[in-house]
Amino acid sequence: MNQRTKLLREIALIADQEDVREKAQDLGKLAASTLGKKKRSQITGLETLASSTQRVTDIFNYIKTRTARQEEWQASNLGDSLLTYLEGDMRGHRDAVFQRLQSQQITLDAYEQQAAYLELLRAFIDQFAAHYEYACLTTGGDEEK
Amino acid sequence: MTNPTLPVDPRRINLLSDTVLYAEAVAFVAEHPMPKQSQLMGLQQFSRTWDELKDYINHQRGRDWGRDTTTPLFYDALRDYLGTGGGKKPASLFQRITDAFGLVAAEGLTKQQQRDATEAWAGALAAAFITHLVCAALVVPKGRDARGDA
Repeated sequence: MNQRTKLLREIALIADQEDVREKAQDLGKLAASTLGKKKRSQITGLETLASSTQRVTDIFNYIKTRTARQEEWQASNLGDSLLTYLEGDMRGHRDAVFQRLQSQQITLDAYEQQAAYLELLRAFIDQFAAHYEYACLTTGGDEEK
Repeated sequence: MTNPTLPVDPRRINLLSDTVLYAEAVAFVAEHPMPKQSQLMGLQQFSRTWDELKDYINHQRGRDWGRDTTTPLFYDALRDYLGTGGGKKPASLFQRITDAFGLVAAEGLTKQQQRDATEAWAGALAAAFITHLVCAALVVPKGRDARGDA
């Protein structure tokens, strides 16, 4: 198994951890309750940005901008909670990936570390968006928000 | 005048933006009072090149702000952080391009080549810093702790 494959496997393992899945679900449900279906474009916007950007901080800045400009992101601390999790807990998970790779004698350079962090955030945001969509479907997410 | 066609490595810009500039922008917002949002929007708009940014900061700093002391102090602090005021302040972003970050060779280039290369890097890094600063200023009210680095 080459280095890249091992890295992706470690990221997938972290993304599949119960605490990460539960957080994605909690935040997805929160987003559905505060944004509703009407603001779907903002979640898809976050997904699109995450998948295309080469900077972790672009994701953080997107959330900050949405939170500052829109009451729905301020409601129930959605923006704050999402940002805090991505900046805080996900950094911890990122470090866990690095430690697990080091135990396999794999050391990532600074560029690879940031790329790994980005992959981890993408995996989480994909889950978050999926839970948001499902919550909108199952709760009939308000059209008028 | 800054030569916008000089290459800067986008990978290095991305890395420095994520691992250095984001945290420094968050800290800057926490440590200095922010001007009105319209000022921040203008700052972001006029940060496409180093020369443009320098001119904008100098112009804003030179305006008569009346009783408003926050805005001129903000631009003073920003000038010092970025190094747009000239001189060789070792801690300024401009100086760090050659000293701390090693992005431009200290030898082997004419002074003009060195200057042009440094300004090209400075423009890109400063634009990233200002984007982080503006976003951080949007969400961090006065008195709250800023978040950490990326």
